[in-house]
Amino acid sequence: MRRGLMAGLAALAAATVAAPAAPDAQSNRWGADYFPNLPVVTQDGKTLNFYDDVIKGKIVVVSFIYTNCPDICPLTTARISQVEDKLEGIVGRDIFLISMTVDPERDTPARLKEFSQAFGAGPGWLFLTGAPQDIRLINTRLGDRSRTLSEHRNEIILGNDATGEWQRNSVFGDLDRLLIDIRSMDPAWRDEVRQPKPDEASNTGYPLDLQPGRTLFKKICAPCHTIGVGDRVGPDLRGVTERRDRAWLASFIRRPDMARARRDPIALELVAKFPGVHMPALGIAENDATDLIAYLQAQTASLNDAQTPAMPDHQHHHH
Amino acid sequence: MRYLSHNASRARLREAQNARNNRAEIVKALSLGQITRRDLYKWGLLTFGGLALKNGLSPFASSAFADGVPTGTPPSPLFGAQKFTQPMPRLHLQTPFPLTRVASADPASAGDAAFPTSLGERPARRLSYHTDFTAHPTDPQFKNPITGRGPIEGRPPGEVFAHQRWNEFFPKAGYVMSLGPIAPNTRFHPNFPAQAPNSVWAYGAGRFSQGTLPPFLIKVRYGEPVISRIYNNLPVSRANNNGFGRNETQLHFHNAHNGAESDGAANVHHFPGTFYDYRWSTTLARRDKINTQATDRRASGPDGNRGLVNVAGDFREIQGTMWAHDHRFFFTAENVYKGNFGMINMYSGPDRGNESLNDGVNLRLPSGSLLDFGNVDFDVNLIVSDAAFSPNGQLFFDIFDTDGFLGDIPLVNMAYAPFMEVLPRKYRFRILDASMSRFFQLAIADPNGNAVQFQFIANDGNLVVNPIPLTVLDQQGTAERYDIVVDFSKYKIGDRLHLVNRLEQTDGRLPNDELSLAQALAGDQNDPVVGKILQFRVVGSVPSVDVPGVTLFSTSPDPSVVPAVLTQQIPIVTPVRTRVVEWGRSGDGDSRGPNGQCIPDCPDTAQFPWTVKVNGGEAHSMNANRIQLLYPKAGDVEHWTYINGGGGWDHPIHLHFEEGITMNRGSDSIPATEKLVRKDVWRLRPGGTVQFQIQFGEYGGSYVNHCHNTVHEDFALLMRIQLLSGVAGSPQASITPTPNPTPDGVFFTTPEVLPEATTSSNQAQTSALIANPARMTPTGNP
Repeated sequence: MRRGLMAGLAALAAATVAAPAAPDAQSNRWGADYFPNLPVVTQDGKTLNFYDDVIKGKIVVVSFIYTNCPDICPLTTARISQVEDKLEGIVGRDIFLISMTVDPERDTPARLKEFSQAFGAGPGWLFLTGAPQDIRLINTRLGDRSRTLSEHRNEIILGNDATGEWQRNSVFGDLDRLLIDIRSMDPAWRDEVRQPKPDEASNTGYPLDLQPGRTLFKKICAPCHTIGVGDRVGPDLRGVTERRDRAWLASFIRRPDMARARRDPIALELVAKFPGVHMPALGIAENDATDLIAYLQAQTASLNDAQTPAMPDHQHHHH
Repeated sequence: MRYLSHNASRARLREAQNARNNRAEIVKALSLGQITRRDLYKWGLLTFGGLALKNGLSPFASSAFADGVPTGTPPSPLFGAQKFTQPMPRLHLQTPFPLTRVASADPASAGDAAFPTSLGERPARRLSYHTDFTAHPTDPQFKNPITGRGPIEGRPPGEVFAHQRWNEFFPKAGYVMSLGPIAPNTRFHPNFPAQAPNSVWAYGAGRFSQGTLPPFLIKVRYGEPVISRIYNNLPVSRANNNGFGRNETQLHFHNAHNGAESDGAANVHHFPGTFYDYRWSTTLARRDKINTQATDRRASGPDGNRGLVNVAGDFREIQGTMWAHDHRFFFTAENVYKGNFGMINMYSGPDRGNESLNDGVNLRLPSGSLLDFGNVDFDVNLIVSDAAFSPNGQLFFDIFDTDGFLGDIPLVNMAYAPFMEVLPRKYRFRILDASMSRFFQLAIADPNGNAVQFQFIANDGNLVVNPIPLTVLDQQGTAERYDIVVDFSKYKIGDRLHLVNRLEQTDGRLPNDELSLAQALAGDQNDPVVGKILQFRVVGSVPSVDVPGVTLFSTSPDPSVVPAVLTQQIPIVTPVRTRVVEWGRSGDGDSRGPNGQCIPDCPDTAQFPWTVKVNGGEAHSMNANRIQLLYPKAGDVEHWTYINGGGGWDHPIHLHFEEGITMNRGSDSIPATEKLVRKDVWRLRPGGTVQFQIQFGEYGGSYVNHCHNTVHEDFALLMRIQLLSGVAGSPQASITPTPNPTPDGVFFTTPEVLPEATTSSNQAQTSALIANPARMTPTGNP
């Protein structure tokens, strides 16, 4: 705490003094008077005033993270990296992504830099730390009022300071829906007419998807892994069921933290190759691991089939 | 000290009133370098724990009443108002309009349900007007008349959101209401300032009308299906909300037996300028299975003329005290708090709301005799809730509070601590907890401060088999309804009794301890909502609510009865399937490192919203908010166990569409008011378990199962249940696509279906669940 305070004071001294913001409209309860204008430090070591430099006049997507998080938060960040991809070109211009650490004692700017690079975060995405009491105050105001790290808020916050609108959302729903919610924070975007086309789906139901593992993969694996499209936050999983022993794979999918702790050589190799972020333990049950392995196997097989010259039927799909 | 009492010193109060400003100013001054942290230390305002744990400045105790009570405001100002100085408003009764079937040669309108011509309302129809808009996007008659963009009706287009079994439950009664900014001069107490139009959003009668308080009351009867046409008359700009609330709405008729398209809870909010036609079917559960020929007179509704209209279904499934409220995902808490709710009493042959009519079926519970059914002279809806107000007296809500929002002002029917005049006779009270996060525990104190015995007759709108004598209710969580009968006949004119809250709560996540009646009556400095919240004044005459102009006297006999048997028990049977739903617990829950050791210390493990086990199989990780429980076939009896794995929180969990019969609470005690009693909201209790029997039928589609602490609900303690129990061949017998409302219309996405654990392989199980091998198509008009 003492060290954090001193860091905070140093940061305070370095902070630029800005003119106080003009009072907001009376209906805007959540503006300059609500968000602290305290100093925060970015992953690049730059000190900003939280309200004036990070929030004021902007549309923001705020999440809460800590880089030592053993479970769900890397997935939150990975899902936001998918959002960043889908919002390509407007992040940093119209929309700003903010990941607030809830562990400012350990999350130094350098640590946040490494973490952000693992997710390929671009310039419109700030990872913020600072003096612990400042960060706690800011997070409290943003709705993270957790008493322990593990209780921290897994929701995200969407805000538009210009209009005073703030709302909760989640990265664990449909990402395309989330994109609409994010873009709708901009009144100008809302004013544009986008009429949905007639859709036969409005008249029909669907049978149950019988491919085990596909939905789970999409939800909790795809944010970091591809099958056959290359490394992302973690390795490309094409052929992983052939490369690795099945029992090892099942065990690693469920408890990668334990594999690392017992210094499993493959786990350590992965840590060396992907140093910024470690695969979290996502509470995956044995049945789910089995489904995921089946899905990986099936996807790999279908890719392999498609590329086998002996099967001309499939070849033309790739021309 | 948690709440600041209004007896606190003036200096202390002023300090607290200014706390928020002070914090903001200090923070600003710090950041501008005008003061230093050293100054703050010197002034004693900063400690190593953070800013100002004294003088009400703690930024982490955002509440005004201080540590741990997260309301985010200073104590609500009372403007000199004393308790029990205003009469309790009775709910705002809505008047139905008769609907008639359109016999037209034009197939587009044949079979529509027409409102009286004088209303100028277009008829209600099976398919949404959005369907017409999609087909004719430039035709102005199908466009939002206020914004000029998007469809006139918010109900999604096509067969998936067509009213199921339209002809079978053809609507006979129509209501037209609007959700609008509150009417001028609406006050929570005459001393309080009038609420600004966008401080409160509530329902009012008519098209594009203003909102009114108290909330609405609708009287529904079995055998008379209803169309409720709800207009969204909120500001077009969603920023015009006075700090909280979203101008997009969907009205959920809490647990009524309706098709998913009218449940109001499946991602179907609609926008200012549009309406949504909810068809409240009055379907009596099990109608496809029990008493299908409608020969049992107990399964019936009042005909309005001292007779009965028999309906198919199981009379043991009759519902009574219900409510409806907003269900806009991520905004439910703030919208409901802002006034987006009302109550619905369902009347049946047995529970008719007439205490005199003796037809062998009518239970003659206290109600009144002036109307054929639905008398409320002695049958009173009581909505208990809490609220907080800004220093200027406007309704306040902290949208950044995720633990659960608590207010410091008790409200009954949205009025601050009112009084009610009663005759010395029996009364029925239908008590609803409509708070966001507050649990109540209510008792009645006589003039000497002693507990009054009363009869408990219904839980969540379901009659208990035998009335239960009590002197204090069980805890009551958000959305729970308790019906009781209180006999005032032994009190004399002039006596005053009080409804008393005995449960202290200072944390939005769960209540503290129950206080004794004496302690509660003495008031509680930690929680201003403890104590007396409503005063009953025994008087010699009262004006009739049912027939204005008539006066009711204490000298008239009380013909009402509380029969020893109210209904029959639905037996617990061997289930087809069992499910275990564990809320707030991750995977295997093992946070230890390898070798069972914690190195260097046991890591914190984030809690996923829930896990689900079916038929005792391995748990599947249900760690996302778009999961589904599949219910394969109408009429399958299942036993569900809810486990609160989240430790210290309490969650009132609500299952939509069907009630469950409460079987046990694991190894814990179960109160008589729950044992074998049907419910739709269960308080899990911290670390608790509850098991119940459930079956679904008559309708299908997408429903939800969620925590009814609306703040938690918005946090994603919500799972989707897909009922494949719709009419065979209809989309509601398969997985339905997910609607996504936008101002320009609804678009659909394919739901992500997560597997469930089974004793057999998933594939075998899911294949068995789905008979149809391919994507299904509709079969025209059901």
